[in-house]
Amino acid sequence: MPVTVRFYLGIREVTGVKEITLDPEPRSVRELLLRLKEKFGEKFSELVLTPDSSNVRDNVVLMVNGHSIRLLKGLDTPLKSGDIVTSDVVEITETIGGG
Amino acid sequence: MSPLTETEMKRYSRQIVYPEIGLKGQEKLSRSWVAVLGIGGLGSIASLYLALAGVNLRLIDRDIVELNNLQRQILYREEDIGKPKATAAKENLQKWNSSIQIESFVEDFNPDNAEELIVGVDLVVDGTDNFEARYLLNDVCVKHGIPFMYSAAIGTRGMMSFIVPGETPCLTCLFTSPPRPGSLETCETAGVIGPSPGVMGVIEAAEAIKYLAGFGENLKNKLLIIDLTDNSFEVVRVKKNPGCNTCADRNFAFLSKKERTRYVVALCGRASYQVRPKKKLNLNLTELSHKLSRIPEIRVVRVSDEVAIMTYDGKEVTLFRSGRIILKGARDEKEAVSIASRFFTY
Ligand SMILES: [Zn+2]
Repeated sequence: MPVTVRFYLGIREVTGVKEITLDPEPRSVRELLLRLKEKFGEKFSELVLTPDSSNVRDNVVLMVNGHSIRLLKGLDTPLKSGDIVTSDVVEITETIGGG
Repeated sequence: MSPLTETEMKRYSRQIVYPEIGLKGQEKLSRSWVAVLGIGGLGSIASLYLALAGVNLRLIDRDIVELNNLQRQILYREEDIGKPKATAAKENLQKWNSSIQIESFVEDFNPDNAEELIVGVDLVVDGTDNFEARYLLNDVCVKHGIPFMYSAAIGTRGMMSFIVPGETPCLTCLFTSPPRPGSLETCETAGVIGPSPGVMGVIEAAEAIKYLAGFGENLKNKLLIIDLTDNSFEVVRVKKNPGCNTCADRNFAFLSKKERTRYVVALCGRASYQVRPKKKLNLNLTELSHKLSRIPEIRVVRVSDEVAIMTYDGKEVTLFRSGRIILKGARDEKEAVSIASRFFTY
């Protein structure tokens, strides 16, 4: 099954699109981000990942089906490869703090 | 007989006529108490609409009104500059609606007073500008089962979620932990147009009115993301985390004792430090500033019952009645404490 990836706010500025579909589905978030880097370039990774590429940046929230990956397995969070019933939705946004 | 007076029936007639509210809904609104934590861009507009709708308010803010607030914080006018925001907001809102009750607290929101300030209200509106305060609010609200809104705005963008403990994800479910100070842009560094907090504040007020009067659908289990540059309003579904440290394990780290040792905090993006006394004081600021004005490096700019603004060696010092001091232009925490100690012993 393909995975749907949606981008918001500053992330969307770099991707230029609101949403893409990746087919076949990557097996993990790490693999997903590599595929997105190939597609959108180094600037995308710089915006989303920490300099050592060990996690998403502090000001970025990456959700798999509504759950932040920080509370799942981080970049190793698996995507349901091969699941034919439901497809995953990944959402990537910046956090906003002002008021 | 309705508990509403004839004047109130007239004042609120347009929302009483609205079928989803009616007399019952208005009575609920008029009985409700909402705490607005932080009365800046978001809190200004949210509290104005709530006051107009007849909701009783508890206003909490640690700052004073400054000239650069007037571009977006619609509750304040030029004559309010130098007044504590909570005081000025109460005065002005009471002119818009004298029939509601308003409590104002010129206080820093910290682990020592957080529960005292929040417990007892029906709902909390987020008007803060930092995640430290929001996570503390999250702890208090989850602990006591009080619904609240997370809302934020910067640039042309905004975000919001309606959090009902037990029913929806809490802030920890959404973002895990506060982003490190400095990792997020602030209104000071990234700028903001007035309508961004305006829109978010208006939606916060609408969410509160719907929730309190009991109609419609709230932004529960949803994260609203808006961007005014292309008028995009999008809703992301979010889910409760069954292993959440805060709402599942009920571990309230931000309310815990460990945090209570922090008496000096950097106010992010403002090149300011706040120093607060270990015990809350009740200073006579007129007397104190009279004494302080004899020290050559100190110049007293203005004094009221609640706040004294002075300069010390070119740095702006705002001293509140409770003994709290905000220092603008201090290099680091150490310098902030050393300057603060010139005013009295901390
Ligand atoms: Zn939670």
